[in-house]
Amino acid sequence: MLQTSMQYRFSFFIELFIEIGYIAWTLAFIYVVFGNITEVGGWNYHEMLVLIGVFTIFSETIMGLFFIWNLRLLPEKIKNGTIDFTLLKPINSQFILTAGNTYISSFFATIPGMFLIWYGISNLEFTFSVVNSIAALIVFICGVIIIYAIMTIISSLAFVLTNAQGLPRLVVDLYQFGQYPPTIYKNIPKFIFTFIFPVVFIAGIPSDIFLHGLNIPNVLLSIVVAIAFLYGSIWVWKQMISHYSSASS
Amino acid sequence: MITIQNISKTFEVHKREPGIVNSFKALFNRTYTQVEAVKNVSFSIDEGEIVGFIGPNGAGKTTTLKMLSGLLYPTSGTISVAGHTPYDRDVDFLKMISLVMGQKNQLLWDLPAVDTFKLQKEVYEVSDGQYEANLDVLVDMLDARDFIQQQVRKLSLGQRMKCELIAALIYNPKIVFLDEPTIGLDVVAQKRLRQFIKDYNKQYNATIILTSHYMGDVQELCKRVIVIDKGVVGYDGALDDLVKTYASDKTITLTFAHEMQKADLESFGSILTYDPLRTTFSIPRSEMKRVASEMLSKLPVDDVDIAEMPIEDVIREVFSEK
Repeated sequence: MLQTSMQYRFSFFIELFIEIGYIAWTLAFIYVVFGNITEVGGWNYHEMLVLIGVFTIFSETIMGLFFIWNLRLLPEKIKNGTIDFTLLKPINSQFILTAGNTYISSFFATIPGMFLIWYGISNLEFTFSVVNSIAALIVFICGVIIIYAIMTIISSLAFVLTNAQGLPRLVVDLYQFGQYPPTIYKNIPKFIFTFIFPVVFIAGIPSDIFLHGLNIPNVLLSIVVAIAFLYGSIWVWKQMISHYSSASS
Repeated sequence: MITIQNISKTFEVHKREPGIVNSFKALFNRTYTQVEAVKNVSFSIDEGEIVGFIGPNGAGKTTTLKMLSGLLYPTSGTISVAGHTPYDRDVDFLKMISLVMGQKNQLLWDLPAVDTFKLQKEVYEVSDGQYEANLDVLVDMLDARDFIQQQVRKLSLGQRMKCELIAALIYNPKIVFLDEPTIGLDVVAQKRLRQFIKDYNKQYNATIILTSHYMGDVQELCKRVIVIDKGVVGYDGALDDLVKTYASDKTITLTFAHEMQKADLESFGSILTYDPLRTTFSIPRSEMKRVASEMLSKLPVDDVDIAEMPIEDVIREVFSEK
């Protein structure tokens, strides 16, 4: 009994250590870069900190709490055929399989995320606006929906490919592009990160609205893109599930 | 209740030669083969029937069951179960079926079985009163009151199977698919389970389709059987007729006190395997009583064993006729 609880506690501290280490590493990088330059795409050091704070809340808290582990385990479940029973339940199988389990420990990442936002704005000339904050939150939620939809689409490929353990990892690597100011992307990258792999909506545009004021076209755009991706993911999921071949018993 | 017409299911599998070199080759150049697990199967089943699917391993029983329950899309053909198309998996359909697989479990491993029942209650939206009543009936029928509150991982195989059944039936499904429900159980537990399946069928007028490769399961439960081998239906009809037509013989195995000559034994019936100390005969069902008593009185018998023809042989008979 004692040993198992110690083991859990040990893993808890490890997780906490990894969270803090990860954020410290990102901050060190930003700190070093801003030793050489004064702004990136029009964003200064403290604005960057707010952006990184928002991104941390997205990638560590939201994704960790609901999506990452469910989606990472999905290919394994498909391969072993253990989702047979889930598919036969009279409930939304997509929701249960992609967001059914929550991982509470991810919640701790909110603290450093909030700290970064607070530290950033307290060093900026910033006036708080309720309207801007709500608009920023809406875009942020749309960003979450978009990335969730993309991860679902990619993970559901496992229904066809059977062995696809690495796929969700690909999405995690790609959405790292979301932790930079949206203004740095121009031309083709801008198009890609707005419509094809819309990472600008997870942190960049919400931070922009939060710090620099309401931008209605961007809010509307995020809603349209989010709805399109969500419907796309539902459609792809249905297509992919028809290819499910189960595992022999 | 259930109608399927010309159902086929083809799986694509890739083949490769063993060894590391061939592993690399297979990365770039794969040869796929189409495996037809089920070929042009048609049948229909009425409400309240218990139908047995029998056939050897890999015959296509489980694949057919998975198509009926909506897990797999058929490659071609049409299926209708209680007016629904299974692979649409609409909520009304899912609420009236249940799939139990003897080799997979859906019970929550680290919790008492009763917690899984409660989860099922919520998922299938069973009312409190209905849940209590159903649970009571099922627990009594399966004699499971003692262990439903124990952690699942501490249950024996037989106890776990009983709990699997309770979890699968707590919402009163009208159609139950049982995939080898008695596998790995001892004889007593098998008998119990069969009795339960019979009772459930009677009490709720549920349609039950069961796969098994134990002849015993089928003999005790099913009036009607469908024999499948290599994806093809070889026989569909009353079990009695199947036995009369194809398993008209029983086997009797004698162990002798001392070595016997083959010539001295041939007069009793056709010999399946001969060994000076242990010989197996195939005897017509109707003759068995007379021949057996004759053998016992005339031969130096140490031990005797009378058995049904193994199901594999029955199936071989079915398909050799064609």
